[in-house]
Amino acid sequence: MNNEIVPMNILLSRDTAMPRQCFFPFFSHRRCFAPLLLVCAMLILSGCAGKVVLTPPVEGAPPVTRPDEQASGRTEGKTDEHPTKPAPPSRDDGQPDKRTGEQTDDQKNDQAEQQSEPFSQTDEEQWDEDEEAGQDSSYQPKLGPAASLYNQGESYLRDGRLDKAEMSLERALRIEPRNPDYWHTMAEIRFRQGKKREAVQCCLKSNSLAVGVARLIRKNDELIARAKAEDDESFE
Amino acid sequence: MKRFLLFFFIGLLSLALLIVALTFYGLGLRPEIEARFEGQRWSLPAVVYARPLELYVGQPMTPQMLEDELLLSGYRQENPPKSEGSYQRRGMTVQVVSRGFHFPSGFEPSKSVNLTFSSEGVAAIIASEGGDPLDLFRLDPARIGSFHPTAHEDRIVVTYKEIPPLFIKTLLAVEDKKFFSHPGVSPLAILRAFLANIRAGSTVQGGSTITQQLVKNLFLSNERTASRKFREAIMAVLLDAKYSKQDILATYVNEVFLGQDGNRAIHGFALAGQYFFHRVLADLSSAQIATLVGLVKGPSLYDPLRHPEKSLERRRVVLAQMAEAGLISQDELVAAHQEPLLDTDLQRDGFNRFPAFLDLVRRQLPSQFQEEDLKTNGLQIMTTLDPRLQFKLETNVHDAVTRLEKRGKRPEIEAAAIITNRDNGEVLAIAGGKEPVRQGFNRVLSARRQIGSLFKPVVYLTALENDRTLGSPVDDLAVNLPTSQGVWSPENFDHREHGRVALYRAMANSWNLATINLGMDIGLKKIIAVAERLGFPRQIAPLPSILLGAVEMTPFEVAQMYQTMAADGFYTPLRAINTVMAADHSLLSQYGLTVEQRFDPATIFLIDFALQRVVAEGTASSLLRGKLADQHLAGKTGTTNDLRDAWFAGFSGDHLLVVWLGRDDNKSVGLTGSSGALPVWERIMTDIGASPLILTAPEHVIWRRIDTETLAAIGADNGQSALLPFRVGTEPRIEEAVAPPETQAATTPIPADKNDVAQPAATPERKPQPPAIQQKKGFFDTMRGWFQ
Repeated sequence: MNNEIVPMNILLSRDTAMPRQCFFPFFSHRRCFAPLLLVCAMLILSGCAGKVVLTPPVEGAPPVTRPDEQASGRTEGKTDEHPTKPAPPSRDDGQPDKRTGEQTDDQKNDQAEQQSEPFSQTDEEQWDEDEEAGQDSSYQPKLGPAASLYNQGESYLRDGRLDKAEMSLERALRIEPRNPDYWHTMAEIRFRQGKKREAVQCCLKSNSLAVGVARLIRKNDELIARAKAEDDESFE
Repeated sequence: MKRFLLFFFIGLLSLALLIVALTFYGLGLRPEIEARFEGQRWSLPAVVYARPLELYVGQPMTPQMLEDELLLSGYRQENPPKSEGSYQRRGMTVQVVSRGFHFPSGFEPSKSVNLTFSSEGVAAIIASEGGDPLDLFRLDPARIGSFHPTAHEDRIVVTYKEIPPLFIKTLLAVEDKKFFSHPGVSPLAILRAFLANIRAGSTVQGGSTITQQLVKNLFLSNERTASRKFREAIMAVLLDAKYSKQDILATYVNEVFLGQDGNRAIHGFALAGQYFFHRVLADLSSAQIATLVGLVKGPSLYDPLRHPEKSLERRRVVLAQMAEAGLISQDELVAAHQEPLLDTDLQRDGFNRFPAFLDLVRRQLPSQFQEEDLKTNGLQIMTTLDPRLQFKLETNVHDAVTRLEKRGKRPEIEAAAIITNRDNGEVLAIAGGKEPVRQGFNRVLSARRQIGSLFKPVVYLTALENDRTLGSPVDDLAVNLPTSQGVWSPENFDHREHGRVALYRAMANSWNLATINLGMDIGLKKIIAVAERLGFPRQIAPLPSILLGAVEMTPFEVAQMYQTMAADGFYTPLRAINTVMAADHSLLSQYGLTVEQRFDPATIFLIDFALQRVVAEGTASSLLRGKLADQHLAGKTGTTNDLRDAWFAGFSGDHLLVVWLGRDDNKSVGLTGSSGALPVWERIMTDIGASPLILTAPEHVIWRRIDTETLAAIGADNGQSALLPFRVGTEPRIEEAVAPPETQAATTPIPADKNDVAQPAATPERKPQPPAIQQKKGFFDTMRGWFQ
């Protein structure tokens, strides 16, 4: 409590070198409880009863209004007309679920994709079976400079971390902008983000770059069909 | 005794009154102190970052390019590089210690890597610790600007824990020895200063504690009056009573004014360390700490950049005080005296150097971020700027325009240019005028000028969508169009008629008459609709003059339209912002990559082919004499009436670049697209590096050879033929020859067109040909090879 008495100390120009612990010997006299009361009143009034620990100022900054769906922001108000919502699990596409256990909807989604386009043995051999075995998808490692980003994006996609998957793929596409496989994965991300029309566009972009790659074109066309089907259900 | 008691009580009473008065005074000050000290202490301007540089094995890059980028990002040379933000270049290897950075995808800690370069580019990336090879490495992005609050204050805020102990001890030894024991004010120091001042007869010494200095900076004006001193003391004591010493010290470290950079005020030691030494506080040497702490006494007087000698002298004094206080040993003192004042010999930081780009960022920020957010909330805006390209763009535009002005004795030429990523529509660099750093009229975004022949590809694209082919006959013949202002009789630039010509040649040579005849045939409304699909956002009045480019656009809008053609017919809004993060690095907005197919890939392939013919045989063929001859670039020249505007818009395999030259008063600049804008474009494109433009022919495209005189399909090259792509179903059949040229065409002599046969085959290799056509080796065969 001594701290708070300091203003007086200064004003009275009492012994200035006096350490803080023994302020105001003058007031230690019994007869001056009235001023002491006043001092106490001042303390109580000013609410300076203790030190306040502060958090760094930046962290305390009030955040800017968050858009409802972060990823749906567009610069030119060209926002998707769809209300963005998570993609419904693709259970309804008639693909039987071969696996049991605690598969996520995401995995089922992938699986549905995959069953329609089983990849070749060589592809399968390439991937890291330690981690990925049993969680199949349309995943294939690529050999270009952005391969690691692509693989990272694929694994985020399988985990349902769509924002992160999107960021990885966007990085990958910045390095290899004309890789049709990357565009297809981008389409899958958009599909799962509920952005069906953007998914269709990414498929079209993939197709435009995948001249002669029948495997990929078929996958794109299937995703387009699924996206269109769901789009119709939701919006018509 | 009674008398004594009376005095005692009077004294007591007045003391009580004083206390009451002080209580109310203190109460009055309290809200001000709390308001300032709790919650948000500073207005933190939004910080704008460039795109992070991705380094990967096989990337086409030289050590010099990397060094340029590092310097623009505020890195410094260090031997050997140890601390964050340092690098060392030795021949073909560069060691970099990146700075830890909170990316939207998460924090990436500082990493030290060795990059080896070969003539091809990045050959290997090896982690310095452990020696693991990496296939990818991302540098922390350059801080390129901030949106200042009105006071133009800028700072980097640090917490108490981030301040190194030596720094704190030095600061206290110099400014406030008793900081941790005094109650906010130090009466003894005041007294001492008072006596010193009386002895000297003027103010030579201040008795302010750090707390008082902070109060002065935070709450009070600069006047030197007794009442201000009084207020300062009261507030200092209140502040000291309420908040911890650590808190007060950290606030002081972040608040103190330490220098001026243009109209930006450097506040806080962390920003000053970055500004003067390109280092974070933890990396500062004792000599550098001494320099910064010495600045407090007189930020402009001891500015190490402007007054190095005075700054050095002040550093000497502070170092002596450090030694006296036992903070450094005698040996360290001697060593510190030897250190240069500033060790970053290259002050090439890219901070706030690109106002035109920052202007674009500001315009593209969605309205959800209010002006207030930008100035106070410490937003972090991750942009698409490529600082190296930006630097090169500005330098080249400036140099080229200066040269044009000198050569032609034409002052007042202005310029604007924009570089985007061909594929994803990211804006990489913009030049708003010939003087890069001057903030002012941003011509890229604001100068609406007629685009002249840059509009022609829109006309030809519409034609290709409406059953015309690249080989379709077009009449380049005089035309008289009735308009509201009388009959309009446009002419070709060479004042000649070229008769019946193939469509692609009319575009490559930018023939006006052919374009008008074709455009009027197709219909203006259809053409305007195509311009809108390409991404032009405003309405165009359906007048025939638009066919020759009587449409006003900004260079940015031109880039948007050409982007759609460059990116295979997919429209992507040109964007400068990738993500916006809050001050705590949480993601607020992400502007993901979007594409929208607006044109059939085959049609776009045809128009892109025609744009390549502009360079190969048309108005931009001067490029074939330069370093870019083999890159198969695509583009279009544009010139407006009386040579008011000179344009060139074109793209390589990875970049789209639009250049405009003209005058702000819209008078004639005396330059055409070919003579003015194209050389500037070429210069920039050469400097930034152009990868070859290899177009992929989509399905449903087949190749046929036509005779460029008769326009008939032929089987073999006859010396005046061209191999052209066609959409399947629209290709001419060989037996069914097109009618021979009309008599009119014969009257206007067709200039001997050496370009038709084009170059001698650059590469004599034989490509597989469609079986139906027998062929000789020729330029187009080589061309065709590129497309397959």
